[in-house]
Amino acid sequence: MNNPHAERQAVLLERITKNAEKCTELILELNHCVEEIVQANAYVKLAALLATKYSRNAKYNLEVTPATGSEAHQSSDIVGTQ
Amino acid sequence: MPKSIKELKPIPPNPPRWEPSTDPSSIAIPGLDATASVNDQIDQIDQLITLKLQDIDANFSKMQQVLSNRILPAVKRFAIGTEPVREAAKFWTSFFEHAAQVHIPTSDHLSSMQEPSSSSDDHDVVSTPESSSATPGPSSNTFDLNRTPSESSFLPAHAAVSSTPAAATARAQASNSTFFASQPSIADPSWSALVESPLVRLDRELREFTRADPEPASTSIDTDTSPPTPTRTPHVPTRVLADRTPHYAEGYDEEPTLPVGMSPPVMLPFARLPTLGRSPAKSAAAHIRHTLVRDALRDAGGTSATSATTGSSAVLSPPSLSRYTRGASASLTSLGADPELDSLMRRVSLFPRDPPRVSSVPSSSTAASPMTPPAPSGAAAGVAATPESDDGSASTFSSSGEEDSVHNTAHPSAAFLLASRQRGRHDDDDNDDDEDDSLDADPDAATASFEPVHPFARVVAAGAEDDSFDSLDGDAPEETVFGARPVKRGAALPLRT
Repeated sequence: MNNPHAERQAVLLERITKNAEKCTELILELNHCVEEIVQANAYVKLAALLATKYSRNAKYNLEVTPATGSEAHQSSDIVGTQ
Repeated sequence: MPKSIKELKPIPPNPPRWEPSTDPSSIAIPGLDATASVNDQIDQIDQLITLKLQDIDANFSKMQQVLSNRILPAVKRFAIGTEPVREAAKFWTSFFEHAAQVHIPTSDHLSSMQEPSSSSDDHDVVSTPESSSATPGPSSNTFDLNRTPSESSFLPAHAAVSSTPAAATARAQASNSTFFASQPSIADPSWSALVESPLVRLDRELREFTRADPEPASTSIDTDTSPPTPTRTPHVPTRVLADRTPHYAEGYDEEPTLPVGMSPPVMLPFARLPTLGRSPAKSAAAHIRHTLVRDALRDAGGTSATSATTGSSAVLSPPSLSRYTRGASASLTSLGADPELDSLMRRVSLFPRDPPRVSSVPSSSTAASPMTPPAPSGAAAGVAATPESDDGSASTFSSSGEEDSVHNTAHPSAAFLLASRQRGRHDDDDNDDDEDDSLDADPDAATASFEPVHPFARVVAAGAEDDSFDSLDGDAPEETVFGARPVKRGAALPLRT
């Protein structure tokens, strides 16, 4: 009695499982790619952090050190780009 | 089609998840006719299940299509597109690390260094931002802005090295200065290898190489088989560098005999001329000279002196080409359209005669070779000229020997032998035909009948070995440019005039 429904449903379930496997593989690959990007972006993040800190330290040091007329003028041009 | 952010449709929120109710009587199925009989309801439920499964299947397939066709390619394009940004970021991180004399490990370094140093690395990571942000004054961990670049970059000894902080680090390394104290020793090679510029690396390797083993550097000036130093060949450094990196991973100190970090020197095969076996160059040259003189004297009536004849032989028209063509035309009419090697073999087997004028054969042929270009009628002459041009330049191959089968003058090719034999046959006729023995002697007849002979064709007579022409000869010695064949040279010496 349930046979026609069951057969149809079995076929559908089979297709569903196949599609699900494919989706799983694709998502795993996507995860892998995104993880690689994130790892690579760690350098970007680190570089940004270091540059920020460098500029902050440079600015502070320039402010602190006794500035003669010419040096202060030159260094301010460099720091002014921050 | 990539859309801008503004054009994207707002994502609808997910519908609330269905949660099964514990009480079976309270289950309400939309689409089900509750008034129908139980069996009908069961059928309806089955149909609803089937439809639901179809929807699920459709959704899954749609997901798979979207993932494979849109998302993954976009992610990969993003990765490729941001590659330059990452490279620049790597450079700048190394720049800042060298400037601050600090190593900032990332996840790559952690995975390569395999965790035991992770605690110390974490300590480094924690300490570095703190130190860089905390103190304004100069410290060992922060950028020492008070230190002028002049002391690092303007050293005359390192003029070839770039004046970036990488150079300073390389010099510090070369002088065995210590890095930040908590650096694990394993991390140094891989990190420094990663971070160094190729110029710095090359410079360091040169110094290490010369310091550790000065002799190979000095003997590298030798020509033949010296191992190439990095200074010699531009391609060696990259290969040495490529070899060095895994060497670093293994550890420095396993090869006390080699300089630190250097892979064992490998000899690159230089491009050389094919090595030829030895042949009696001087005797060959003397023999050639004698035959030339004899030929010239014979041709000119023997009036002029030896030196003049050797000079005049160059001026005289080549006497020998027609001999080849005549001989070839007489002998090769029967061959027709046979292929070259077969014709050569047949010819050789057909004419197992000795060259009567042993001494005159090579002289006229060598006189012929530099003078005239091979004529179409003189295809045999051209063939004869070709091995003779090789023989004429045999003085340069004075080291030729038995090994090189192609340029082996001790075993001349069958074409040369044939030509020499034919020439020897007609040698008596050509005493008066010096002027006429140019390229224009019966070209048409010769070209019609003559088969081109491959100059380097090896004659394989029946029952004979590759390099032995014993089956071709009789008992008399076979004359070559350098004299009789080496097998019979000793026996045939008294026969030469």
